Amino acid sequence: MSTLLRKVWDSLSTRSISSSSNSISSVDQMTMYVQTASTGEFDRIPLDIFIQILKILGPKESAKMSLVCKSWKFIVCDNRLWIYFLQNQNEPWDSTFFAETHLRSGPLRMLSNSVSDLSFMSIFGQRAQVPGAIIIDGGSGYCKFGWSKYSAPSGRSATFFEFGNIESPMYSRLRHFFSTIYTRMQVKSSTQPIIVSIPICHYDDTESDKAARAQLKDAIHSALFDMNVPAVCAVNQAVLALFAAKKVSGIVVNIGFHQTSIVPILHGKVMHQVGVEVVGIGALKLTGFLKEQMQQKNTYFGSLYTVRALKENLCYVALDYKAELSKDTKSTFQIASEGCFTLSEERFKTGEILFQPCIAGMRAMGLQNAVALCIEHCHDVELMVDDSWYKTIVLAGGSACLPGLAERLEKELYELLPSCMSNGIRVLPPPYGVDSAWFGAKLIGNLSSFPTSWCVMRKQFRHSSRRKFMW
Amino acid sequence: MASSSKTEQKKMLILKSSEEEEFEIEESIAVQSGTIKNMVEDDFTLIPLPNVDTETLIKIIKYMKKHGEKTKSNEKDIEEFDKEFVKKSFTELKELVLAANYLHITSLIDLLCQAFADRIKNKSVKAIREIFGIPNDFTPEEEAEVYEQHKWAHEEGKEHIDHSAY
Repeated sequence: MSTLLRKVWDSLSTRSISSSSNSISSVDQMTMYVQTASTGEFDRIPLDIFIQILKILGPKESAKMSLVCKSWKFIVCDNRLWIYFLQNQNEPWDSTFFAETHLRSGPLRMLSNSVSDLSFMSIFGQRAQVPGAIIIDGGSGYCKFGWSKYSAPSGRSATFFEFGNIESPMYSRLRHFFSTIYTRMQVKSSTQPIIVSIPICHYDDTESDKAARAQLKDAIHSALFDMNVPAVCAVNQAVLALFAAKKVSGIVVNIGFHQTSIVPILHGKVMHQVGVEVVGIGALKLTGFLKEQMQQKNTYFGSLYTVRALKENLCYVALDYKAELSKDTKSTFQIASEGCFTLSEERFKTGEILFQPCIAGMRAMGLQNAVALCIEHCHDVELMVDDSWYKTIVLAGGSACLPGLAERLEKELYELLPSCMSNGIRVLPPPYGVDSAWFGAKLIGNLSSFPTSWCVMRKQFRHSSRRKFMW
Repeated sequence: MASSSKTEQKKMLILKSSEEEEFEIEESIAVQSGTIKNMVEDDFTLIPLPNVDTETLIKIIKYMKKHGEKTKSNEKDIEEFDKEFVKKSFTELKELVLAANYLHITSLIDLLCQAFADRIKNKSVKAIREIFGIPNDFTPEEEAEVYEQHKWAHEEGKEHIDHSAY
C-alpha cells in the first residue's frame, strides 16, 4: 500500500510544484488515495491543508505526528515539509543544501546526492543533535576562531605577531597556539570537537613535501589529542574556502599574508600532482607598497595598521589600469584618532602589483600568469572527461576582497588563454568575505553526519601506531 | 430628497448551497472568495456551490460579512470574532476548512489551520488518535522503530551527544 502511495505521491508532487492553478485537482486526487489508507476524521482534508497545519505545528510536533498511523507518517515524512523547516532556520539554505548533498559522506566520498535519495526529515533530526564544535582557522597572518553554531568568528588574533610560524610542524609551538586560543575563548579543550584548517604549505608533489604535510597533520592531531579534545577534523584551508563557495572542485586563489597560493582541487582533494602555483605576493606586500607610496607623498601615518585600514577601505582593482590612470580617483577616509587621509592613484596602484609586480620593483610572476599556468596544467593532465572542474576559480583571503579583483582576473584569463581553455571560466569573489575558510569549516560542523563522518576520534588516534615522528 | 437609487445600490449575488438553498450577498463581500471572484468575472450572478452544504455556507457567509467590514478601528473586534468562530467541533471545523479551500478564502483557511494546530499541539499521540478516530495500524515493533528514528523530537532540550562515547 505504501509503495503505491509513494509512486502516486512522486508523480503528483512533481506536477503540483510546477503549476499552482492545477494544485486543486491533483490535491483532490491525492486525498482520494490518502482516504483509502484511513486518516480517520482527517479523511478528505486536502493535503495542502494538512501540510499547512504541520508547518504551523513546527518540526518537533510534526515529527511526533508520524507516530499516529501509517498514512500520517507517510505525509509527515515528505521532503518538502522538512526543507521548509530547514529553510526557516538561521543557516542560509543554499549552503545547507550544498553541504548535505555533497559533504555528508565525509572527505573521501564527495558524491552528489539527489534530493529524492535523501530524507530531509532525518537530516533535520540529525542536525538538531549535532554538538557544537570549535573552529580555528589559522593562517600565517591572522587566525579566526569561534563556534560552529554562531554566525561568525568570535575572535581574531594576529598569528604572525604572537605565534610565529605555525606552518612548521613544531609540536610545542602548535600546542602553545591551541591552548592560547582555547584560553581566549574561555572554554575547556575536552568538551567539544574541533575543526582546524591546515595551512597551505609544502605544496609540491615531491616525497619530502608529502612527508612534511603528513608531519604537520600529525603534529596538529597530536597536540590537540594531548589536550583531550574528543574529535579532530583537520582540513586544508583552500578546501574549506572552496566549500564556502558551495563547490567541491575548482581552483582556489588564496591571497595569504606572505604569499598567494593557487590550489587546484578535485572532489575535495588538493591536486598536488597537477601542481600548486605560488606567487610571493601577499597582504603584507600590498600594505607595504601602499606605505611606500604614502611615504613618497610625505603623508604621515601612525603605524602599519593605519595603512592596512586605508588599504581595506579605499583600495580597489581597476579593470583597465591605463584608463584608470587618467581618471580622477581621489577619495578620503577618516580613521578615528588619526584624521582624514586622501588617496588617488594609490587606491588602484596597490592592488595592481598583483597583476604587474614590476610596479613595486618585484620580479614575481603576475597573478593572472600563475593562474593561467595552473589552468594549463589542469587541462594537460586530463584527469576527468568533463574538464569544467578547473573552470571555477574561487578567490579567498582578506586581500582577495579588494573590489574589482574578480572581474579583472577573469578578464585577464580570457585574454591569456586559448578559447578551448578559457571558455566557461568564472572567477568568484571570496564567499563570506575575509572569513571564507572559517565558514567552510562551519558548513562541515553543522552537517547531519558530523562529527563521525569528518573527524578522527581520540580513541582511533591513540590506537593507531602513527606516532613515530621525532620532533 | 429623492436621490438616484442606482448610485447607492450595490451589486448582489446569490449563492446556492448543495441543498439548493439560496442566500443573497453583496458582491463586494463575496469576492473575498477567489472562486466566486472568478465566476463573477465570467458574468455569473447566481453561483451554485455543490460542494458546500447549507449549514457550512451560513457560517462562511457570516465570516465573509464580518471580514468584509474590516477597517482600522475594528481590528480587535474582528480578532474576538475569529476566536469565537473557531470554537466549534472538529467535524464542523473540518467541513469549514473543506469549504474554505474550495472557495479559496485564504484568510479563513489560515485561521482554521491555526485552530487545528492549536488543538493538536502538545497532545499525546494516543489523544490525537482518539480525537480523530484514527486506528493505530502500527505493530508494537514498528511503533518502537518510528519512535527511535525521531527520538530527538520526543526528548526535551537534549542537544549534546554524550562525550564519554569518545
